[in-house]
Amino acid sequence: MTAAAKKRAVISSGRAERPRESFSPKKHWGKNLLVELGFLGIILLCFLTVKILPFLLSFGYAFTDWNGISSQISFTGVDNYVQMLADKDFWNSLWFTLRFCGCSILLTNVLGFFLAFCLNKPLRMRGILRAGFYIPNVLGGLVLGFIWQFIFTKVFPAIGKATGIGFFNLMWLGTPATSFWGLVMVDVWCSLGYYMLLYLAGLSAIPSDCLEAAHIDGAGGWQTLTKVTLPLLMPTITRCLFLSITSSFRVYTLNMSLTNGGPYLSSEAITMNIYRTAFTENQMGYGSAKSLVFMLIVVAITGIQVALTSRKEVSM
Amino acid sequence: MKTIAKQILASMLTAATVLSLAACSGVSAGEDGSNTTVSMNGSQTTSTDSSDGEKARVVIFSKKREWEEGWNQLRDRYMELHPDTEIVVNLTDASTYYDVLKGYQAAGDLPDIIQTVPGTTLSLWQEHLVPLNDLEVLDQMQQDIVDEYLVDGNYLGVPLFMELHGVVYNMDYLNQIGMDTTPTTLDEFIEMNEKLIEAGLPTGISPWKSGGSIVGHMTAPIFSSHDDPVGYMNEIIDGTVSIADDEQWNGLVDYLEATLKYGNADAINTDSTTERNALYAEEYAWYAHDGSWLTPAIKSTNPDLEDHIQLGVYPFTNDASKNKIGRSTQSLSVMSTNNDPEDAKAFLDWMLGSDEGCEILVGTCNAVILRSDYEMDAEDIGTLSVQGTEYVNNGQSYGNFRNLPDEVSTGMSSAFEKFLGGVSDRASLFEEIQSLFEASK
Repeated sequence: MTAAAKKRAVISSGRAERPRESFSPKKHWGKNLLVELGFLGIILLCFLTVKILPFLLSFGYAFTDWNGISSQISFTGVDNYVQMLADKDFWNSLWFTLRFCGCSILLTNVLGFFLAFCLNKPLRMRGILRAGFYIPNVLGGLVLGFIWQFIFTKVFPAIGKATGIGFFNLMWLGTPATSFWGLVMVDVWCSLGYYMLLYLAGLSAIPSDCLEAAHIDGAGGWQTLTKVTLPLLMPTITRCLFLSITSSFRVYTLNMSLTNGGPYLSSEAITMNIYRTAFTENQMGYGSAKSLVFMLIVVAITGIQVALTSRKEVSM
Repeated sequence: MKTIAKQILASMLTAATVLSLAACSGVSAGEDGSNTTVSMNGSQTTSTDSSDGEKARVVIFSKKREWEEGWNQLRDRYMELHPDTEIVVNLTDASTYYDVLKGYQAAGDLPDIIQTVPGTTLSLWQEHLVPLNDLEVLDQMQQDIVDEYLVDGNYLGVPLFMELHGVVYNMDYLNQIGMDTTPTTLDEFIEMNEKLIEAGLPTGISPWKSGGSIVGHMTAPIFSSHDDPVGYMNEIIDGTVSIADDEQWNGLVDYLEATLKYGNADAINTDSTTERNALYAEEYAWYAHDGSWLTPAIKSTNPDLEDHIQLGVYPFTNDASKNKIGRSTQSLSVMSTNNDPEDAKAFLDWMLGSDEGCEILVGTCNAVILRSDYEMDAEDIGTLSVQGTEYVNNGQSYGNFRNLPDEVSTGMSSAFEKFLGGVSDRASLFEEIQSLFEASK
């Protein structure tokens, strides 16, 4: 044994002989409090001031008649909630939002998966195609809204006039039905690329040996998709559904720039209705009550969705 | 060793948090001695110079973004004259103005001077406003307009400018059908359209995508035709007056029906920007609702239009004496803040009372100001404003009615859109409006 080797052996045996420290959560927490606060501080502060504090305040406002400006605030109990029951505009906007979310969630996820499935194949142009489908997502709701407003009101009629195709001659933002589908179309076009990327990541994480094994066992394309790919993709599906539900419920900028809730409030999303109540009509208390009800609805729907889809997840 | 490194890093992050929070609310000094204030709405305003010592500070928050150059001139000139006062101007878009203002209020950072309009808005902000009874400039203004800002015996606003609106005509088209004046009655308006169609000329365009402009600007003559407009509104709210039987309400709907019959087919799909672009491009003979606020844009996009554009009355009835244009005034008010309101008042007195301030407002901002002793040049304020001022001087104008409850305004806007979109008829429209008023009890 060389001198160096002897030294290493001594060090090694010394380490081995040192008694192991027992882990105490209390001691650990106290010792590292500064470190943890330092790292978490910024996020914690932002979360408290931007999320928790406004939430608590709006919870309080919901039981008052505050107009958002005056220093005089009266406690009104559950009056705002009673008023909400008879508020046709609120229920109409909630119904619009639910319909919009249903269509948007279904289409973005189905088409997003379909695109990902196709662009996961070794196509020559797949890099360009992936980028192309993702670009609308980079532009965002407000810009897209104004671009599509121009397309619906100027480009479509011009094409319709030149070709005589009825689809282009529709008054796209002028009737409740067409403006609804116009909004769904633009929203799906905008967010498709994002969900395509998430599904692509999910698909590429599926081990190829599982697919090869299915192939060797004689499974066809459809069977492989439904019995192997989709079950293994369930964690991604859960995430994508959760994200699409929350983002479609929050739709605001697209509506504002494309239809501004029109015609005659028929495409007013619930977020716009809440904003209008609280800010335009100066009923901050009533607007807060609406926002709390809306929050409960979103929490309930996403909770049910996560519970249902999580059950179907399989581990590899 | 690792723990020490972590603690150092954590301390640095904590310090960075504290510093960044401090920086968020502060005013940073630039290399050239200028101060940059970042406002809540993301707009950035720079005020020149901030030398040593205590300086009076006046923060102005305006929705006249198109006046940016004028505001800068006013600020710079006043600071030259009063080196001990710093003027900061924050500008935002008109559509979100009061929302941003509420944000300032929530942050405890209200500006010193804001823009207001008479009626509900002034009442809402009343408790934050400082009486302006001792402003010298009030004596130089048209008294009837100044009195619109009188609340509980105090003047809470000083009129800044007046905008005039009605039906805008491109006289080139009207001349081609032998007309050299604008229609003054509904029958004349219809006859003009028949002639335009017969001559194969374009008729008009109506921006009825939002019913807000109808509620805000075109329902006003209905209320102002009564001796006590607010009393009349209260009668509708009480249900003692039926709007379906009212000649004025029916006149408004008659006009809207005429615009639908003769104007662009997609009126419910047309917003005011589309209408204005068509006006600059001279695509139509008439524009159902527009006004003097177009002047700066006309001067920059199609100055030749100034020669053959004309403002006409809203032809609601067949009695020419009852048909008028609308006038809308906006004022400046002083808020109760940490800064001394006397500094803000002194600025207002200079801006609106001195010839120097008025020259900037008229010459650079093309504003129709309300000083009765100040002569405005037609070159500056534009054709529409000159014609509008003549209507005002002849008593052919009405002021906007700003006392509608907010929820009634929004509901009426939607009701008019339904009517214009063909979803409801006249009877349903009136029924819906009546119920909106009665629900606001």
